[in-house]
Amino acid sequence: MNCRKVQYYLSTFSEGSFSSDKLSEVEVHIRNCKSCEREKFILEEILVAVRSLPTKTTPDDFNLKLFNRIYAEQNNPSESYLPTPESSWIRRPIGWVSALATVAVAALITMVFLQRPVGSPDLPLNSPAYSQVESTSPVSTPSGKHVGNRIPVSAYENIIGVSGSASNYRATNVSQVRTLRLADARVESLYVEMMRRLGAEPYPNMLRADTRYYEMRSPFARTGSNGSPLLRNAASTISY
Amino acid sequence: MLNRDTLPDLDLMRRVQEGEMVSYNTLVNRYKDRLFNVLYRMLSSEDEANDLLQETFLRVWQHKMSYDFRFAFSTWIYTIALNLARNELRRRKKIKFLDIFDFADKLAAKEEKKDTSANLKTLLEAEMKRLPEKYKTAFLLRDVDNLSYEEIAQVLGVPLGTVKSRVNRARAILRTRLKPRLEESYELSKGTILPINIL
Repeated sequence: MNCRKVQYYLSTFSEGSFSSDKLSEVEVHIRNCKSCEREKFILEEILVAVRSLPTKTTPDDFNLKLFNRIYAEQNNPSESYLPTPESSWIRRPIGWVSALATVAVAALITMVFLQRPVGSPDLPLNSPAYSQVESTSPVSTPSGKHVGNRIPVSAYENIIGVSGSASNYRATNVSQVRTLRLADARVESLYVEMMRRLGAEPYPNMLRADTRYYEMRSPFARTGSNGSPLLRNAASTISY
Repeated sequence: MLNRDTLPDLDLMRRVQEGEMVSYNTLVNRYKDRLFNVLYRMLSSEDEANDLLQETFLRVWQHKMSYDFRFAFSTWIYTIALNLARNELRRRKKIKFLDIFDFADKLAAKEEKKDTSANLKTLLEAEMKRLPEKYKTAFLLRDVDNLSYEEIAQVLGVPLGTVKSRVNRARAILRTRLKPRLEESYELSKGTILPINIL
């Protein structure tokens, strides 16, 4: 075997995926040829260096942004620029029925919300979440940093508004379970996003308050099962 | 309680098809960094790699029902990501950007060529960027991401022999380009020359 052929086989040789006869032929050549031995050394050094290159990691808010995009896409499918397999519903009569049903449910939800007092949509006055919203005491972050006297109520309205719409789960049916799951994660992701925009760190007390509120509304809590598994799952999707 | 982290991809994908967001999140966590690395090295931009990765996972969610369980999930997701990356590279070719960062990289690579004592990893990264796209993709999947040749063939939709030849070609190019820097290390390892600081 000549040098050219050996150097051609070096790559395969370095992976150890050679047949035994060819392997020994290459090995013998390398042992006796300085030039090929050097080439083998260079290749091995490169492969070691490649495998030890610093690995990049995704930004901390990667999942948060991804989930927000998914919710945005699902809530405004007309704005989606990606063709989805589900988009063929127009051609199916059953699709029209479900679309009409969705419109009816959305109208019902809107009506229910319009009748509620501004600033406390679907939230009992004695709920911990409500007391957080109305609190005028200074807000401190876990690190003890003073953020400000009060985060605008509108921020919480949006958050509660999301969970509020999910609580209308009761008015719909089992097919809405998926919607509920999405809404679960969305409550928290919106909250965190909102806090970021307001320049405040996520406020754990508020999050817990929302969580309790949400559990209270969850059908799982009402049926006496063990807490709200969906909520726990949703919480695991958010990383700070 | 069910530990999704230990579930195989296909089981998670079945749950995702039922609309289970938590299983989807587990898959995202399982693949995001691996894919991010490959995309980053293909596009040489963290921001673009991040955007395309978002797009990749979004497509996984949107097209979850069309996933074919006969194929590995990894093959599917890599195919989506690499198609997006290739489209982006094609777009870049059409619109020639004058990237000052790229220019700075090239300049740095030139300087490093002169300086044989430059850090091998820095030099290697610069040379990897310069590899022709088809060789680079095969090389990254094999040597950075440790995919098997069979998986790469499926992802790229080319015969197994073509994948092997592309990987070999990429390695040979790197070997030639990094030879001046590594020959010195070889001589040192053989003890034929002494490092300058000893003399």
